[in-house]
Amino acid sequence: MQNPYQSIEAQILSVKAETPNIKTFVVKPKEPMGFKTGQFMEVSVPGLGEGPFTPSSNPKDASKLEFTIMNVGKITNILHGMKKGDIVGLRGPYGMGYALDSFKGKDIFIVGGGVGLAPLRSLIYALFNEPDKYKKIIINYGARTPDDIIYKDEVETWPQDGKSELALTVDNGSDKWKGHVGLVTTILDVSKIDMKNAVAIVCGPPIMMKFVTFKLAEIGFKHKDIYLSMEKNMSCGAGKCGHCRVGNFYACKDGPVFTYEAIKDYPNIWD
Amino acid sequence: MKNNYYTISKDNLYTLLRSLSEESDIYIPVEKNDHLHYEKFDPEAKEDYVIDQIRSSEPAKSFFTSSRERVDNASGTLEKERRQVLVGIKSCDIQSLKIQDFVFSQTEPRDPFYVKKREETTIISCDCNKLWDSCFCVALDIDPYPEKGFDLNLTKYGEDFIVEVGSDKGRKLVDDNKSLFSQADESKVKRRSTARESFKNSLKSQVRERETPQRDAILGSVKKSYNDEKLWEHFASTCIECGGCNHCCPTCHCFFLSDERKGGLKARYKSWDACLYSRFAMVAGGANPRGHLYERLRNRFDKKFEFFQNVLGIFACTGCGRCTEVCPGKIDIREVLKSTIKCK
Repeated sequence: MQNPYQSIEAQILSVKAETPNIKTFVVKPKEPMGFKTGQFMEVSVPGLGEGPFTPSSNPKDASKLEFTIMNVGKITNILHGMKKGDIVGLRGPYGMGYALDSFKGKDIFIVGGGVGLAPLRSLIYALFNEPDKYKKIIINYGARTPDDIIYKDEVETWPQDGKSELALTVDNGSDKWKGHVGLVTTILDVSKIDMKNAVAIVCGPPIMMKFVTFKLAEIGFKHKDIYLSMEKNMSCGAGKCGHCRVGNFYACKDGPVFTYEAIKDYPNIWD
Repeated sequence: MKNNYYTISKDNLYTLLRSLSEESDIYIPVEKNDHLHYEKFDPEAKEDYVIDQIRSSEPAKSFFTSSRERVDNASGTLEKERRQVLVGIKSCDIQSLKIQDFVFSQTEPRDPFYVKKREETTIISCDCNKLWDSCFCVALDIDPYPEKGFDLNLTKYGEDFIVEVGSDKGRKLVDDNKSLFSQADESKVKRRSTARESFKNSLKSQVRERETPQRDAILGSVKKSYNDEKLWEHFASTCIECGGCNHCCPTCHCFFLSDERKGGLKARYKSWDACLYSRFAMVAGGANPRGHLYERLRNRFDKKFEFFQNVLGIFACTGCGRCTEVCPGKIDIREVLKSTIKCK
């Protein structure tokens, strides 16, 4: 019987600063750790603590994983001080990941906010791995300021003729910013997709998720077609420690991606 | 049927325990300050242990998960595990193991530390014949005597005990110590049923007198109470967030993992957590789905009476009454349920 509380060592291959408080870490686990897009792992600083993060890299590559991490608390602060060659711990993957099978043959409407683009980047790679399976892919992304946009160079490569489009916005512009200014809810354009045959996938801070979900429902997405990445306190990853429960589910085991339909009736889902 | 019943005298039972104590740790209740507490059996001590009567203050879970245990591979905990025998465990605690088993040994990934402890444990349970003011198992359709989930069960019968074999492990225990047991005839088994019925009836009257809601009435009532914030604010008003209800509850299983550095050692610990604590559901960024105390109290009831009912078909409450007894805020679980069943 495997010990579900034991981490596997992984070496940091490189660290890239995305924004003043977000870094992307490329790590190589001692043994390959495959994952399905949307599944997460517990990343630990040996002897100091761990936290749940969804790989932002291509799920095709099990030997090298990327994690894009915002410095918000004790462990992320220590991680931000780590360098190439340092050792972290990994447990997982955990959760169900994105329901790619249910996305087949549909238009995919992605809405990301802030560092919430990290799991979505892995999803975008997975969709691009098998482009024939999906119809149009519309990527909407909002950051607080132009400096807070992550994957700056890469996002520009995502729009591909006829297949995928990208809409960017920032809450607060700058002198150099020529793009859209406004909350991400103001750029959601569904005119090019077939609403009857589309799914929406949302990941971002709780307040953004809440208003985007309400907006998507208002535009006409069915509640069962809105996929939400729930940010909860996922500690054990195995549905045992009890912290991340949402109604009859554990975010770590049954999620962290849920349809709005599945969780809308439970109290406090947006907090 | 008949082959499963024996009698054992008190003297012979202690002979058995002394013999078992050579290769197992035996835990058995003693009376202190009017309550029963588990102690390690001392083969030299006077035989003033209390096997029958009533549940102990400690929940049975404390024999299978420690309030703090090391769980990384380097801990060596699994190799050190010794056999243990639990004597005098009561029906409410046996029932609670269904929840602990579901979480730690029946759903993947299994917890090897719990599984090992469970395998190395022999349960010699005993019927209740005394009740606390806080007891209400029968309201939840749980009898004050176990029908399953034990290796051997004892029923006090004068100075002797009627023994029921409940598992292969229990069968082996009897077969290996044949001279200590005598086959029970049907009249004894019948008298056991009568004694059980009569004690159950006294529990039923207590439940009736206190108007404690029955399981059928409780079903779904906590969900109906979600939006009655006043109800939850009322009961939470005396809660001091001590987590006592969580820690003494035999079904509460939540824990947190913590990593520690001691010298060159990097260790991972698993410790009991409590959903009444303010940071229980908080994420690193500061968001807290249950920032208010009333939300955390409601969550505790939701987990017990909705979640486990929905995923496993049983309540994560056995009516043991420990939470009511330890609560410094005098929150009585029965009074809370009396209010939730009125929600439409």
